[in-house]
Amino acid sequence: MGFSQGAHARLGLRAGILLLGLMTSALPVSARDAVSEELSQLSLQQLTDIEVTSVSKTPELLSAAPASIYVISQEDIRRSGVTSLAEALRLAPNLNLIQMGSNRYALSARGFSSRPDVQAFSNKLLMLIDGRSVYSPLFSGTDLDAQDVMLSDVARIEVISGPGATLWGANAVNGVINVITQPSYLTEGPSLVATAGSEEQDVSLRYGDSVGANGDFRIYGKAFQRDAMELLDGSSAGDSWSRVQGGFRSDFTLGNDTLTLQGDIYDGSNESPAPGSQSASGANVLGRWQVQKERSSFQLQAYFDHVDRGAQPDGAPYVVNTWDIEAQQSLQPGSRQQIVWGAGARLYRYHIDNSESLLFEPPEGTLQIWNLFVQDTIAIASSLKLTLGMKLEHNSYTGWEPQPDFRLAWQASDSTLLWAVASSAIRAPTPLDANVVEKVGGIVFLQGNPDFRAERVTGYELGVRSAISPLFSLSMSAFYNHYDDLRTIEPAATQTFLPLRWDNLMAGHTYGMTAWADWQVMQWWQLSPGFELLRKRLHFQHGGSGLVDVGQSGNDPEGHALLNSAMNLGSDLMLDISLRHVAKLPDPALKAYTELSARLAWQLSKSWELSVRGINLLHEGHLEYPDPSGVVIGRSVMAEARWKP
Amino acid sequence: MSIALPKREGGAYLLRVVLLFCAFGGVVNSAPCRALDTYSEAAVKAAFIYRFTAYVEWPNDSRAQGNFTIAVLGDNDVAENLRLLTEGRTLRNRPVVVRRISSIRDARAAQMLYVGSNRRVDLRSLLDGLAGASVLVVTDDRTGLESGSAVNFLRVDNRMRFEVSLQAAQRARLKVSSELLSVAARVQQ
Repeated sequence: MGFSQGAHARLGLRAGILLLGLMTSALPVSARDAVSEELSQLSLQQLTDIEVTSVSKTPELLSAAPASIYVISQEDIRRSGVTSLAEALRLAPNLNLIQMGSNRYALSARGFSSRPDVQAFSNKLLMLIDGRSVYSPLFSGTDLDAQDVMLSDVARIEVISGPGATLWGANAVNGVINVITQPSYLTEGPSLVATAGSEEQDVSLRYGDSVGANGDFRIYGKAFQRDAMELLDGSSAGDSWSRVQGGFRSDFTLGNDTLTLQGDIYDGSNESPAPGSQSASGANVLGRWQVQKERSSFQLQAYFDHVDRGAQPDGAPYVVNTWDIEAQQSLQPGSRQQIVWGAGARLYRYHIDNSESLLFEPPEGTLQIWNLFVQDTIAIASSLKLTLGMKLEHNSYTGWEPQPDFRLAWQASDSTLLWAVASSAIRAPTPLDANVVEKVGGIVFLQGNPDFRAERVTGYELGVRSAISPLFSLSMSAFYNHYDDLRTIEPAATQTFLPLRWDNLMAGHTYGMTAWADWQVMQWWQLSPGFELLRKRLHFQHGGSGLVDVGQSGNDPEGHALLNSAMNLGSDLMLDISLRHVAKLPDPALKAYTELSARLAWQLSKSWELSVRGINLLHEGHLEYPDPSGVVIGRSVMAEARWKP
Repeated sequence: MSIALPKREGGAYLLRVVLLFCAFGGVVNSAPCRALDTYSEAAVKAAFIYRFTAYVEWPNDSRAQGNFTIAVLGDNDVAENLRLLTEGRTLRNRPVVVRRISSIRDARAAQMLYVGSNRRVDLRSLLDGLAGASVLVVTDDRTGLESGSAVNFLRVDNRMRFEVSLQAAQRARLKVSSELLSVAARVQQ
């Protein structure tokens, strides 16, 4: 369908509507009836061309999921105007995102954020992009400056709180972030987004088309550049950042089977005062074959991922290659049971360029993760479902680790679901925990521990999700997480202070609550508040030196809140405002902050949308992490144009 | 821009004038071009549901009597819009009735069922309750087709699209025309 053909259809459409309106205008007709009249004249093809307006989120049927899940929808991403995956994650009330610089972020859920001054980096989340795991096997954290997607082609981002190892995979200690892009049959045609602002400029372009009768594909490219931010004294932090990324996705339908092939390649360059420019580049390719039958489905997925990072302020240059294959089957052996089971194998090969101050012994190696899991959902009564799950995961350091998961879901009414969860997950040791050697002035300062144990969480959660009225829905969950064998810094030997060594001598619990709501205040205005409260009660286990206090687990605020407002002003204007508040950070201390971002968009025509957006508007600059690790995040504005014919 | 009220015969002339002004893709800030450019989701869904009927054949169509019933479960907005759309019309030569239902059993006697996305129930077990009945089920959920509906709405940016499951249509003994399949974003066997 070429542009001119579409234009003619639209002209015909408008003219037809106008003519119809004028011809019947002599009779008094209510506004509602006129709309119905017009729509009833349209053909199926014309209906797919029409622009649909709605502020309300299409609520997902989430009752099949007895878990605390927040869905960042395509609409949320579009209306917020965010330009990177990291910024999109700020939209979730059950995630804590701390921006530490132009290209540095700390992402956590239910505690355990970063604390760079004691070598703690947020490492308890599993992030997946279309099924590909993107946390680093070298230190368990996720490099948010290297992971990105074409945001306008994201279908949704599911943020799941709590241990999620059984179904989702390794490292899902405190939560899972599942980024899902649109299948290619929904992204046909061209799409362009161009942003120019006081601090950043980006452009992304995509083209999609069908391939034969049963396939579709899309290719995209995006480029991004962000200026350096400032230090407290006003001088430049020297942390500017630029990135290019491109990729493709294709989906083929063959009878009951679907085959998906996708891949991306990226190259970025982060500046920092020392060691200067570092590159972060990589490429990946993934294939997925799904078979959907009436009572069962089967999926086979395999991917390869290559990551190549240059030297960073807190690390050494490295290359990691990942090969992963997994199969999963879902079946309904009876009318009351649904079983999902699967197995997978993953191989990491890494090579680290040891430097004088940061070495790994050995500097290269192979890590394997094998897993076998089964999950059985049994309907024990008409509105009560029990889910029993177990994952057996084998990692190169600690061998087999069982990760069980129990859930009870009660459909109390058509619109209310309650659930109770008890589940357990581990963070397997990494080369950073077991093999690192850090030197200062030639003297060994910190060593890895070859006997490092896996960190473990056992989480309990109670939650409720309710569509209280068609205009108001609410989701609340209370959690209690018990942790064992958390990583601590200990002296390696009893007589001397140095070297220090990693050990697993901290335990304790965290508890808190997460809640969010969607309130359709008016037909054209929706408010979405959300908040999370957290309390940490950690202590050292027997033998723990307490050399660094329990704050080494992470510099976590006791809570954060956000309020999103989405308004449709007239038929062409959209105003979206996002207000957030993050409580003070304990140690190193930082006072609480409140910030606001806003976006005003004008749908100029069916194909063009222009918008202006301001972020961090309330203060000229603010800190989200104390200096020197954190730099001043300044106020900035940007203008954006989107074209999608 | 001013338009003189047209006489019936002047319609063609008016059309040319309107085309000229609306030709610039809506950049021109004139009310007739901009009015009604965007529609509410419920109105568009109702229009689709109404249109789908022309592309589906029910068993014993020619001998069918009585009302053509469209049942709506859990979406009052769509039900209202469907009512307005079908008031005084006939579908397949039968008077159209739009019924809001609260239990799946009430849908067995209908010809079409739309399950609103507001509904927080297990879609699959809900639709199992329709086994054997020749009801065209339309849903609006990510797992719609997997759960057994024949047609499922998809929202992509600001446009409404849909996907079709031939298997589900066959199970309900419905014949879906190839024209519907050609407009669908995706067809599942």
